Amino acid sequence: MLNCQKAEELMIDTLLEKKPLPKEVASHINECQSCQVLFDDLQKMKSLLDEPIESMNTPPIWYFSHLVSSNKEDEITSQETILFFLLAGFILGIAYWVIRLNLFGPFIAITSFGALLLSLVAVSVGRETRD
Amino acid sequence: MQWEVKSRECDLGEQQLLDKAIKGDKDALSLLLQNNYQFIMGYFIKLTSSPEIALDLTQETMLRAIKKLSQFNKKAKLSTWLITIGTNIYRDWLRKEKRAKEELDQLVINEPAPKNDALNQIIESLPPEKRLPLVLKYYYGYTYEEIAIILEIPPGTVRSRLHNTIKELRCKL
Repeated sequence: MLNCQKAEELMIDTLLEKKPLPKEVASHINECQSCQVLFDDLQKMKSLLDEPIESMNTPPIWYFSHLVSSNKEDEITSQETILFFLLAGFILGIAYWVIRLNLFGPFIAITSFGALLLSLVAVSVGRETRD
Repeated sequence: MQWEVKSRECDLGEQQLLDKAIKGDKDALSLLLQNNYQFIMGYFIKLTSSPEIALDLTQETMLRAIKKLSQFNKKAKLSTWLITIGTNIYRDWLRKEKRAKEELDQLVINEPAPKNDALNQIIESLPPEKRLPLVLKYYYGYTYEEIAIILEIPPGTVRSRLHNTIKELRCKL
């Protein structure tokens, strides 16, 4: 036989789980006045909780693309890692041979010329982009 | 547009998108976020009763998810993971609001929404520790165990808290 406390627990569980009321609880409600009042209150609460609320539209996909692009840090791929080490090895190799063969003069001349060329290219590209 | 609880079923399409997103596919990640937007937005609207605040919190949740996607272990559904992030953001927001309110005594925390007054009053009348389990259980159908994981409290506490909440609401009706 179901007592009022157990019936109350089952009624609340039914409300929370959105399940149909068990038969034993339903028959208990018919016999018990206080549980009938509780059941009516819970039904009232359910109708209030089930009221639909206004929501906003989902933004278009470009909004999310922008959000992802501007916040996700690009992960370094294995290919980029290999390239990094190759470049580092190449620079170290040059430094080694420059020191070993005592080619500081020509090395500084070549790198200065290279830096000058790169600056000219950067200025040219920058101007095109700006225009 | 009426808000409807979005299905939490993680279908095959979502799994594939998730795999691609974790590998760095930005388009897949964008699509996943778009698919879960209403789900998270609805959660915050229920919690805050303010579409404006919900909008900010949803965006913050999305940003944190983007940054922490590599930490997603796929044990839970993506929507559950997003709800967990959202819950932490909501708690942070509550702390900030509380601090701001202490500094400015007359600051209004939530702008009252003009619609669904009765519903807003019911949910707003609850403290956050009762509001969160109610929204997660009633509107999102999470199990006690899932809510316990999201809120980092024991499952028994979730059940007792929910039962107490219903009793409290009954008194307020």
